[in-house]
Amino acid sequence: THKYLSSVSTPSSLSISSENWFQNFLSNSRFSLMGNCVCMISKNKKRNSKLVISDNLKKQTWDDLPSELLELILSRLIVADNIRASAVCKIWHSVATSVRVVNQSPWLMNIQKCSHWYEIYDPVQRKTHFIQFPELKDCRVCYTKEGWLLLYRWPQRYPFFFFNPFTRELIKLPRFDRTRKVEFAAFSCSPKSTGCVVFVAQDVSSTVLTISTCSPEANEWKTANYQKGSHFSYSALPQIVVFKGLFYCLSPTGWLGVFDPYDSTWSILEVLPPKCLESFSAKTCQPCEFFNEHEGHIFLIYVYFDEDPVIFKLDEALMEWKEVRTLDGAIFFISFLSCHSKTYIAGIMRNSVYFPKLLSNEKCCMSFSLDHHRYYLRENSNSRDLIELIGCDSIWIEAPEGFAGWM
Amino acid sequence: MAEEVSSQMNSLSISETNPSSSATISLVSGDDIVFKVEPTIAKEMETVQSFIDETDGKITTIPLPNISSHDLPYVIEYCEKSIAGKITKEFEAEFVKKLNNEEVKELFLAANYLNIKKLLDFLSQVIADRIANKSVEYVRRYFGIENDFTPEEEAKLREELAWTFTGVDPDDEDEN
Repeated sequence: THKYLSSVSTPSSLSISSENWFQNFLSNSRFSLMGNCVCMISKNKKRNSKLVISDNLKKQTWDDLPSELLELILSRLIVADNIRASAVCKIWHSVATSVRVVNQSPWLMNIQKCSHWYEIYDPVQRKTHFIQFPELKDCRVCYTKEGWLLLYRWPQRYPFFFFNPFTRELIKLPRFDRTRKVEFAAFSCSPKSTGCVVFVAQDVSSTVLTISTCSPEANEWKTANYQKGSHFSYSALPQIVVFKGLFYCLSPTGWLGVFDPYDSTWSILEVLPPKCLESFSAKTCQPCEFFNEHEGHIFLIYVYFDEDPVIFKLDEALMEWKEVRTLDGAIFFISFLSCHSKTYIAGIMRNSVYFPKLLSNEKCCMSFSLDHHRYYLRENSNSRDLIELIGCDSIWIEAPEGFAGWM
Repeated sequence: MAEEVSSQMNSLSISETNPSSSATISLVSGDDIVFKVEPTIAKEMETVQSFIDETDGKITTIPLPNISSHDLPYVIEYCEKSIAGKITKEFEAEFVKKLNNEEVKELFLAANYLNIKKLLDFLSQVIADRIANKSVEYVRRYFGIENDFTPEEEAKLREELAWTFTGVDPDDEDEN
């Protein structure tokens, strides 16, 4: 009996040299937590040996948890949890801030009609850059995404082109024969990434829509006519969101037309416009309507300055608009030509909607906080002049990561 | 009583007396309990596998002084499931339901020590879930961490980040 007991306590196959080797091995292994593990196997078994060991474990480990391990945990937290974690202690602060996902704020670009000078406003630094872009002379901005602008200049044989105001790169699109008035256009992703699709819709008649598509590498446009659908009428230009590769076009009457560039199909979604439109229509002034995508969902935002903005989320299962009272911390940047959503930006109010504003001829941005249920105008929180219209010749553009300004 | 111990020990230490069973590996917990496992399981535990490889498979008894006999069976269970390709969301949910916070922490360290990547990833998510939406004080208690900020530093942090400090779960919830 005694022999067996001792053989378990110190297994005979484990020689002293290999024990030493094992210790060396362990101290060299990745994320070694052991530090001063000396006793591999106790000679004298005691009832409370487990207790002693687990006490040692705790002392040896959580006090100086290697930052690689802490990173594994903290990198899985959402922003609010990450920020709280940064207040736990100094080590946690440095690890949490190093893994915190911080979005960059889009910048507000003021589209000029008669000057080469453009005002670009950075809402985090609260700084306006004045930049010359002769490339944009006589252009109409159609859409923006990932820092690129889709522009249109008529009359020219190659009227459509991409321009990146941050890098000043310019990419021409194939010759486009305009037979009718160009109505609305968009693109799916940066023209520098593969799979970029450019979408242009022209109004043929009250019932027929011509849709042309191409890619930046293509030699020509692909064009076809589609039945618009009885509900899809517009007095103002539809807004476009590219969602899961499809072009969702929102008519001012609240109906959604969807173009699928892969199957070349156009259809009207069977989703009734939100009910609030009826109550709005009783007023003298129409609300501003915006259309956005955030984390796999489509949102509709109605801004009417007498009241809080009304926000709807498309429930794809029930095919109906559901009103939401919070953006769960997200920030929406809305403008007529494009909208963006961000999860977290240092220095920008969370759970808010930001939009361009024209204030005494001066461009700035304004926000509505869903946490505080109120509008904010720049840093001064005076709510004067709220009734003025949203600046409609401004557009949010996404500055590249780390972009500090123009030389 | 002595007989019982003897027979238990006999079965535990069989690899040393019976060469034919050398195919199995003995993992020895920090409190000296031997766990016999299939060699395939070592493939999930990179630390153990490297140890076996380095000694050309001559050594099949591996001391794991940092892992207690309480935690080791959980690790083995997870690895066995992993080898069988049976790690499902349901299994993981059941697995973690059995564990209190203390055990999750210890298994996390064990997974790191044994270098079991899947278990490490899984448990870091479990820990993240358990500290999600909890107050700073709760997290400090959970990890046994001393606050090393000065009151001024902490006040400044809280002021800057005030919105994250409201609406967290009450501290007394899930305190175990």
